[in-house]
Parts: sequence; C-alpha cells; structure tokens
Amino acid sequence: MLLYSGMKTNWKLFIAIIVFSEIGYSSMCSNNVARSSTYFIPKMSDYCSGSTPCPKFRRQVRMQGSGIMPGNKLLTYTGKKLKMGSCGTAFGASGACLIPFISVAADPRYYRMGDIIQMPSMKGKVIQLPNGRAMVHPGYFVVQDTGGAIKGRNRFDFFTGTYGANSLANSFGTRAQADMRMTDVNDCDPHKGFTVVRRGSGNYQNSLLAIEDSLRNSGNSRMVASVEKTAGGAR
Amino acid sequence: MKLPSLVLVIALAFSLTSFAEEVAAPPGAAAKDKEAPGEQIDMSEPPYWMFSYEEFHDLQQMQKDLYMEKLLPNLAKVPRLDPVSKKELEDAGEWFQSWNRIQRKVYEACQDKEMLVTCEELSDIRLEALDMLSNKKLENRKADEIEAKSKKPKKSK
Repeated sequence: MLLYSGMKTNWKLFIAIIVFSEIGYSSMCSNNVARSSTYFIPKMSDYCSGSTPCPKFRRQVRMQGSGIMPGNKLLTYTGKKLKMGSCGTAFGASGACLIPFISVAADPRYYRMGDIIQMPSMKGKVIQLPNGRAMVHPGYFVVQDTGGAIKGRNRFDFFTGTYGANSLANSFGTRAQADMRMTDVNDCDPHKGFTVVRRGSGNYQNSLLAIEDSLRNSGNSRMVASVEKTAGGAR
Repeated sequence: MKLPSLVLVIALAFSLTSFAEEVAAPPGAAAKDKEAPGEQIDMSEPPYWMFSYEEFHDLQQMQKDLYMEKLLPNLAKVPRLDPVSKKELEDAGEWFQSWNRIQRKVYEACQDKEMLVTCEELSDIRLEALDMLSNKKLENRKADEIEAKSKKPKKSK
C-alpha cells in the first residue's frame, strides 16, 4: 500500500527511469539483431576536378583511411600509394577485393573471413551501385573485412563502395528508406535481424551462388571473381 | 488501477523482458562454452586459434608471410604436435589436409586451460595478419590506439 501510494506520487519519475533504462538496453540490441554502421572509400574524381589529390579528397582519405585515385591506385591516410590491379575498390582484411553492399566488416574473434551473414529483410531490395548499375540484393553479406572499432558478435560495418553515409544514392545511408538504413549502430530495428552461415557449412555454397547470381544479373560479373575466390578455397 | 500505474506496469514488464534478452546471451559466452573438454571440436565456431585453410588461402602474400613467420615459433609450444619445419608449414599452406592436421592438433591442445596463454598468442597472430589490411577509418584507428595502450602494461610485465 505504501509502495503503491509512493508510486502514485512519483509515477512520472518512475516512468522517466524506465524510459531511460529502456534506451540503454535498446542501444545494445539482442544478439540476432545487427548493430550496424557503414564505411566507404572516397573516389578522387568525386572531390577534385584536377589530376592531383585536392584538400577535400585528402581530408576524406584521412577520415576513411584510404581513397581511390585515377589509374586504380589507392591512397592511404599515411600517404602511401598502392596499386590495386583489377580490384576497383580496395582489399579487405580477408585479402579479397571488397564488393559494395555485399562485403561486411565483422569481429574476427567471432567470425572467420568468408562467413556469410544472412539478412532476410534485404532479399529482393534494389540497390543502386556506385558504378551506376542496380542490383537486386540476395539477402546475404560476406565477412571480408575487420576494423578496430568493430567489436562483438552482432557488430557489423557494411561496405558501401564510394558512397558516403550521407549520400542520397547510398541505399544503406542516412537518407535511405528506414527499412534499409544501416548507419545507426544503436538502432535495433527488426530489419537488421540476421543469422550466420558458417564457411563450409551445408548452406554455404548455395548462399554464395545466390550472391554470384545477384552480381551477374546486375551486370557486375567482375565482382564475382572476389566471391569465387572465397568459394574456391582450392582444397 | 489508474492509467499512470497501468503505464508503469506495462513499461516495467517490457523493460524486464529486454533485460532478460540481454542477460540470456552475453557476447563471448559462446566462445567460452566451446572450450568444454570432451566435446567434439567445431573449428568453424569461435574461438579461432588459427586461420582455417580457406581463410589462409585467400590472404594477400604479405599477410601470409607475417603469419607464417610468427606462427612457426609458436607451434613449437604446442604439445603432441611433432616439430613443424618452415618448409612443412609452407607446404601445409598449399595442401588442405596437412594444414587441417596442424590446425586440429592446435585446437586439441587448446582444450587444455593451461594452454590458454599460448593459444591466445596464436589467436593474436591471426588477428595481427588480418589487421594488416583491415579498414583504417578514423574510428577504427582510435579504437586500435586505445587497445594498444591497454596492452602495453601487460607486455612490460
């Protein structure tokens, strides 16, 4: 009775405490909902008109870690210039060439490179790729990268090619449809629900084939090589 | 029951279910559970003491070189694993069965909790090789710095 009357008088305070604690818990997301963010590689031609890196591009390179220069060279934040060969983006920690909207960085303490993250809500979504083509998303992502701040089983950093988080064209960016947004690490929306397909498990090859099909059907056959490298393993 | 109390009860119930969900599966718990002795070792699940053959195969050459260089002396610390020469390790990098044999011995040894320090060193070599090409955006570099600072006192002991 005493408790009830106390609750009655202080109910606003109680609700405030619960609301704040709820915010605290929701920022952690449950284990099968991704705590997501996005990363990208700035392309020099999107920032500079000349043939040498301009201050705006250099600033982006310092922020993002690297940037794409003409002639398929990668400029790193330390000032190194690396030849990228046939890779049009950058190599991830796995050694594979990163694929926009397919490659994802994850915590290597929880994932092997090449593990697949299945996100059913993404299946069938049309993604505008940086090369101008559109891809119907297979609903699968491949763990091909890592990052110092990407810690935990459900923490993922999605690679969006040359699209920055605030770019209008970024299908996972801050201006994307709510059910595709991946930029807010504290957003535990159900569309970020995921399961893991371990490399070498029963469903693995089929998942890779679905990714390859999506890339081929969208005219991105060049990117298939990166997936095939993962699929091969050359036993 | 008045409306504010009803709201309070509903909010409390919702809050408790969220909390239970968090407590049910703390991150990292899965990794520790796998270490129970006697269980069949599933090397596709964490903890990852070594690169799998497939992972290793995909790496860029500079990552492979660093990994091999650091792995070799550490393998000598693994009991029941016959001494592995540099040539044998390089050959294993090209042959799934040889690699898998070494990997399995390491995983078997790592079931022993007394091997934890050695196994964590082995695991760190994998992370170091991956880190060579990991994404270095500002947020990641800052996290790396913080982790490096936290490790320094440990190493000086």
